[in-house]
Amino acid sequence: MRELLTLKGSTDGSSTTGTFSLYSDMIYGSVSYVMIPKGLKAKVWCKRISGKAVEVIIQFTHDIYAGGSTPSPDTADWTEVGHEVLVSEGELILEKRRPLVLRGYTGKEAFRVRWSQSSAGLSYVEIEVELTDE
Amino acid sequence: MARITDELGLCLDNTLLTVYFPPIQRALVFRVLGRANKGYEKYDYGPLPLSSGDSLPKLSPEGGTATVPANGVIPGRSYTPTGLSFSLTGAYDESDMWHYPKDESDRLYHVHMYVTPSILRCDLQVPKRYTQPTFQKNRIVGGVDRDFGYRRGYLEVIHLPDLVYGYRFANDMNTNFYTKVTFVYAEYLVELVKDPELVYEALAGLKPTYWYTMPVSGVDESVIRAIREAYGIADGGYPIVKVGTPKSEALAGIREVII
Repeated sequence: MRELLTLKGSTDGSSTTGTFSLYSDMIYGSVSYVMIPKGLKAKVWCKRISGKAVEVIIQFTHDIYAGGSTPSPDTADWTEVGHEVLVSEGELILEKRRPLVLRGYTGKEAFRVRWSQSSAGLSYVEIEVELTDE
Repeated sequence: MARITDELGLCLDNTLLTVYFPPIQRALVFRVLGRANKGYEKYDYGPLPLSSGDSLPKLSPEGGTATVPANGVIPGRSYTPTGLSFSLTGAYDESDMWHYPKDESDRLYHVHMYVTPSILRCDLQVPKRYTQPTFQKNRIVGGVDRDFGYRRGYLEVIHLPDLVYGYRFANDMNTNFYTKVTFVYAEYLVELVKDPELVYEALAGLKPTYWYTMPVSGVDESVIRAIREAYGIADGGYPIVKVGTPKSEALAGIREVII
């Protein structure tokens, strides 16, 4: 079983830090984090970053519920697992690398993508995520 | 050994197909005479039959309900508590394209269902509303809303006449997904094998047969009735041939259920 999701997002152009709101052709609406189903892996194969200079940070949590019964992304304990830097306006394409593998141990795991900029501007991110049991 | 299925996982013409019910250790043996849709096995059905505004329960630990935001979209962290049926205008039962009458028992539908996204959990209710996955002699009920008793993205189903099945789905991610269902199916022209010798050989493993095990932990009376009325076979099918059973005794058991 495998499914490939292309997740896209953009900075808001006015904040120097924030969390990307991710959308995709398969997703109705958008999400600020993506849960990893129990027993599956999320493999981040590719990252494309464009626009103004930006740092793109992938964060992972083992418990999006933060001990409760509803998702609490604001209080969950996030760990940085990936960090890319677009040093100046342009485009950075990171493909055909070994994937970043994030595992769903309990079904409460999740990841999100954040940005950080020295001066706010419009930047775009696109990541290819494979969800698989292999 | 001769092949009995093609590259689609469907039985070739002039092969045997056995449908086995483990809980009652009974089986039906069919001879596949042909395929009514040879060369046209793929049906891109479209989105799951979920309507905007439908309310679906949410998975544990959230609880509560989620609202289907648009037709064919399964909300994040939700599941379908009752199996879905796939409507088709003009079909015998327009609300369920896989439901067909007992007087058309010369047909048998072998379905490989693929759902996109393939991470969706799937299970089958036979008949509809009868949740089947269990653990330890039905002590624990499984299924799409539990930690076990489902398969992601795919189901193989044999539809018997006069029975309504339910396809259940769950989305254990937090994303609302657009969905798509594809059926790869065969509308077989079949005859139920009633020659006790041939049934014996199929059930004893002496003749090659495509062996389909119904994904059930219990067999409802309605299933046994449907088999009796459609095929003239009592008790839900031919008894499985057990190790050490003399052939004469096995043949007598097979003859006994033919009405």
